[in-house]
Amino acid sequence: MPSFRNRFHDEILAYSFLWPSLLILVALLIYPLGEVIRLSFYDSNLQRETWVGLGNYAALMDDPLFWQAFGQTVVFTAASVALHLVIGLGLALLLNMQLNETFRSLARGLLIVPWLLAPTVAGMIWVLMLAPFGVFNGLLARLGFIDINFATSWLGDPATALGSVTAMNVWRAFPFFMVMLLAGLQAIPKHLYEAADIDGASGLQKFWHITLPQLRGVITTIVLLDSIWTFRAFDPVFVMTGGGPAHSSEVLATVIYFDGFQKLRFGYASAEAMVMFIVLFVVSAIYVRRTMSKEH
Amino acid sequence: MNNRRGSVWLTAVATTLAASLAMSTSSVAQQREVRWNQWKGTEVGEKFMSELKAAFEKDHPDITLVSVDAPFTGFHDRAIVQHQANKLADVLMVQVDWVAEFADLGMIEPLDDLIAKEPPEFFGNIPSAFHQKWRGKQYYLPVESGSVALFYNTDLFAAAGLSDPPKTWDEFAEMARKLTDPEKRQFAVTATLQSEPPTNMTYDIYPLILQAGGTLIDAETNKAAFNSPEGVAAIEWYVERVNKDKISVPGVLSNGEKEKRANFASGNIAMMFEGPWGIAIQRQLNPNLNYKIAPLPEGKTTGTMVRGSLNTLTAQAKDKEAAWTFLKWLSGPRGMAIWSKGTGALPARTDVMNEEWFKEKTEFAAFVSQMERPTAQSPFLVMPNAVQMNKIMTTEVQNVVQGKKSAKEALDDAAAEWNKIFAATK
Repeated sequence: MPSFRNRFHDEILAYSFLWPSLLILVALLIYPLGEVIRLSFYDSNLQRETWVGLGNYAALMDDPLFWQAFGQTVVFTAASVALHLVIGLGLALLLNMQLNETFRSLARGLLIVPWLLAPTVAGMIWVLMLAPFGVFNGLLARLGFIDINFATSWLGDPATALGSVTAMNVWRAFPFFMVMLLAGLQAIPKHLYEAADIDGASGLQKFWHITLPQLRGVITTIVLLDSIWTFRAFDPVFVMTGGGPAHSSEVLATVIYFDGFQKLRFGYASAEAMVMFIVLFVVSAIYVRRTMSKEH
Repeated sequence: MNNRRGSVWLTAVATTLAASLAMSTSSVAQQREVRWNQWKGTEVGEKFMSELKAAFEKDHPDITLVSVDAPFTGFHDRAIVQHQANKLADVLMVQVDWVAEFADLGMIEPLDDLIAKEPPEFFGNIPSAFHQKWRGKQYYLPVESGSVALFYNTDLFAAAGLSDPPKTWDEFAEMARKLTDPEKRQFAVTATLQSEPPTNMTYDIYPLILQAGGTLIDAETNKAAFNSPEGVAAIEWYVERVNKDKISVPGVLSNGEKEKRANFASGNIAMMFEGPWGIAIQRQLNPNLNYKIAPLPEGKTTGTMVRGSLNTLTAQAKDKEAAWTFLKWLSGPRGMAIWSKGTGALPARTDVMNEEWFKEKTEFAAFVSQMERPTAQSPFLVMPNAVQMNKIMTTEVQNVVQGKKSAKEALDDAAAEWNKIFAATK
């Protein structure tokens, strides 16, 4: 049994290996977070700071634009995550069927391409595709759904702007779900399906009673992660619509950015960021708890 | 013996090294550096920027010019971040809209003390519109200038049986209807009301308010003045062209400057509201496009927006004297002539405008003639946060186009928001 001194020495050694990463964590995460918390109690334009206590938070409660953006962020996140799951699961199930292995690898490789693109690049591609005389309207016109001469401006119409950004976000990130779920599907023991076959279970029953419960762990994890990523998404909205027209596609991240860098209300923007942080913290806490309970 | 020879060699090498180090240190100490943060490199090309650097360094061999190029999109916000990080360059190029904001943030310094040391005729050849003061202090020197004029595609005009550009609002409306043919994907204009960046008011809306006989800001009360009957008439006229006559490329609420320029370059759009900087951009996009430039049509009166790119001295400049040398060189007769010849920009100096090479450039005539009028205004320096104020106006005009508000309601709401900003920055 190692002596107390040896154990103490080992612990010191272990912590000494940790300090570089701890230092980076403090510099890049803890310090900025502390600064945002501090600023949220001030009226600050970078030049001067005035203590306002909870004034920024009180003002936030009466800010219709903030709550509009909050609601739109929830819609954007919920729609994106739900569609990622449905499309990702559908494609994963297709790829998990009895397929030629080369075809499966090729399809998986091609389908993952959107995930490889930076959100900004994907956004720019979609801006071009969704332009009034772009590919998307061209296709709809050829299929006879619209008259190209009176084509919709998908990003210029408040009724379709947020939906269009959501569509791009769904397209860009469904491959992550597909790959994770495919891996999950391939890990389900075959004998469960064989037993179900012997019992005469239908395809739907097997999906409902075997596949879904077996994928529950993967689904919960990726849904939580995707919710965090999407809720704080900035680039797709900023690149595609800038939050417009008339704030119809504004999300929390863009509101915070504009309040900070255009209105120069850094204290107020920090308070908004804190609200966003609390929401994300709750979701992250669920995720961390799940991960830790699995490890134990 | 060998040892002694070796030590002699060693001493010689050490002495030579020390001497050369001392020489290089002293030459480094003498050579000064100016870092210039600007967005023009990507627009005019690295070749010209190298020529400009060579010309400046030839005139000032003791100063090295380091050009820090960054794209225009996000330039304003990046500058604020760089200031916070204490990484701002010595000389910062800005848009006129940013001057008041950056001055209030302490990012840029007044130049008055430096100007006081210059000869009294320092501003003699720079029109007063290009050396306006903010809070009684001079914060910038102009690099290039310009006003918004009407670019029109001569081929499309000829095909529609039109020979001259519109001179009045009525003529504009009538010609625009003739020039619009959705079946051929041909439109009179690209109306631009994009939310971000909110730069389109300068082209689409503010000139119309002036032409209607209105003003943007009341100089005496320092309050918004555009929510007048004239302002309302301007917005209603604009919205009627967009919604009723449908003279614009669809997507008015998402079209920005980029789309406007690309559409005009495609040859299918008959007209475009644009500044002289657009000439170089069109040359790059479509050198074969046949177009001419005319003054903006008149409503009750004439009116256009005057803008320009400016250079400022940052508060974080390390060698302020060297930075000032570069600032005044580029805004001086030699620097500005090189700049204008190389970039195709309209000079902000009358002596450069009077040079023979410039007089031969007939495409600039419309801009120059407009800038001589009293209705050519540059209100941006009295707008304490012009970027935000432009965005407020953009959103409100968007509301009118969508039918959510009347022109009067929208302008009243925009005026209320502008007045809050004025009140907060008194």
